[in-house]
Amino acid sequence: VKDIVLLVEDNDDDVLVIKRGFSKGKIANPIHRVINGKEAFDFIDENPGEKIDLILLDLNMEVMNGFDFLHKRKEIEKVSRIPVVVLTSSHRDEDIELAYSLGANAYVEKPINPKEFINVILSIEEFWLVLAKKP
Amino acid sequence: MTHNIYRIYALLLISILFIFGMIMLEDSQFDVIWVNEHIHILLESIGAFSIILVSLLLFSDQIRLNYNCSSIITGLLLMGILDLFHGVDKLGQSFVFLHNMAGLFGSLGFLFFIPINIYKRDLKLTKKSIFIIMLLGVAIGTSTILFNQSLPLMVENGIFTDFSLWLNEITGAFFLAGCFYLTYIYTKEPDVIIFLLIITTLLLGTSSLTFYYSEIWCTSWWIWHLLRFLGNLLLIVFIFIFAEERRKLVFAQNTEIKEINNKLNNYTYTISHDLKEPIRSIRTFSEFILEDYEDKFDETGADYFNRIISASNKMAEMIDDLLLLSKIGKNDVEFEEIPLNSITDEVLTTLELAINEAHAHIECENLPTISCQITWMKLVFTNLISNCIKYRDEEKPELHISITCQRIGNNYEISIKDNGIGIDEDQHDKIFGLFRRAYSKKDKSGSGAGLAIVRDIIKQHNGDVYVKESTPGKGTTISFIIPMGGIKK
Repeated sequence: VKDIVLLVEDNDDDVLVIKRGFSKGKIANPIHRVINGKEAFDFIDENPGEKIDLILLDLNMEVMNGFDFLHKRKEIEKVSRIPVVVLTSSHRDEDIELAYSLGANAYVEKPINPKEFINVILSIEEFWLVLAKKP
Repeated sequence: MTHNIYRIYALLLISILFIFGMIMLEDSQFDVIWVNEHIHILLESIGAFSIILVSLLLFSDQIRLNYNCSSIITGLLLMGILDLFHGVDKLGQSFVFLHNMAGLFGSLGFLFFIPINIYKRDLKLTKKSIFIIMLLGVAIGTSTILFNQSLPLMVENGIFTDFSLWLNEITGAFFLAGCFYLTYIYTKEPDVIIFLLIITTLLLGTSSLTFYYSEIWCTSWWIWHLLRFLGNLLLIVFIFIFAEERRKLVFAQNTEIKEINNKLNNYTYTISHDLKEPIRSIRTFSEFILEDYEDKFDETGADYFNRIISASNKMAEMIDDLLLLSKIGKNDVEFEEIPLNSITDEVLTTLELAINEAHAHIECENLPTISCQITWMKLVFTNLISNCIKYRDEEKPELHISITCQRIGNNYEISIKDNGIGIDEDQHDKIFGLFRRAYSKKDKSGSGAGLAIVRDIIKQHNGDVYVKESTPGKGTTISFIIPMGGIKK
């Protein structure tokens, strides 16, 4: 059984696209989806046995957005070791800078073209789930 | 406001010193008449100029009161002009007559202010009427001096005549009447300008009343002159206050405009950002349907879905361009000195594929080094050159594009000329509008924001962009002007 990918995303459509990307790309890691940063922390707290391989993080979310999640993540050692890939539709320079300075491991813009989107998902998988050595 | 209070204190102090000085003068050995005369000229001229200035400011609407000031404007204007004549006139009949007339006209202005505003008469002065009033003032002034002998007797053996004295009493009464009415207004509408006018009329009125008890060049004479001068000086304070308030107002307005602009930019960003999400979904799921259920569609069905996809693509592009436009206003990109050729080289490399496809032949002159926001300037050239390619004339064997530069005064004019399809004359201005095209919609791709983006960027660089020349079927030259500032030779 593979480690899970935690998807923090409030847009159902994007979740569908990402899940489709996983299945098309034959990525075996199961996806667990939460709708904001707070729920992500709740999930991690409530499921200490679950091993999370990667966090895919949206930025624009209610309750706790991606930046707040990154901020809090720094303080919690267990979570800070999990690589976070920001996956967002924002390509604002200030968002990119802020995300990295808050410790994001990568920043990827959601492409408008679904084929590209799926390629992006595959690239993320190839690097973060296959290539990169994690603690 | 506190500054102005200090100014009034300063005026009071100066005037006390002045009275003291006059008393000293009377006992001294100086040529008293000479000193008196010159001080008099100075006082009257300063007073007269300040009165004229205030009158004109009131007229030009620089000073806004919720009351009809036409009579005050007329009165003060005549008063100021006649006071000027009085100031420079030699002692004699006309000297006193001019003074009396000046006061009378001024006070009448304040007197008529009362009925005009009680009965809300709609009197409006035009530029022409101001001109006529000024001419009238000058005419009265000069004719008084010229026909010195035929004036009613004003002064006899160094003593003012009864006519002269009573004229001043009436003047004083008129000023005080104006003062009372202004006080009444002030109780309803406390306004600093009304307050100043109250004090001014009070001073001018008292000054006219005390004329009765005065002899020429004696202290009593100077006391009412001083009162009058103070009244005039107060009007100057009045100007200061207004200059200050206007400055504040303009400043506040500018800040507000900036804030609104910032807000709008932020809104544009948020709105276009949020708009993109659903469009992405529309496109994405249309493609998924095509992919997954292709065999269930006939040709028409597939065509419909492709139309949905290309429409959402177009809309996404438009939104991207709106986002881009909203960013141009933001001043966060630094200006740097760069040879324009390095920008064009880079742009041509990026566009290489499209250039080759279009069989385009591009000539680029030696361009100057300018100070610009490099990323934005790249976009200018990208958009302009892409347009040349997009609107090329397919019937011509080759597309020619030339980039040239010409110095005009302190500016560079950079021109991009092509042999494309050209633009009709009546479209020349329209093409710089947002989402506008000179051609029918169906023929060309793109959102139609390219030139609007170019225009905004060039404006940001204090320049201008325009169609220099274009003939349908022959080609187009689009030029932009950019200031030479910060050029390295």
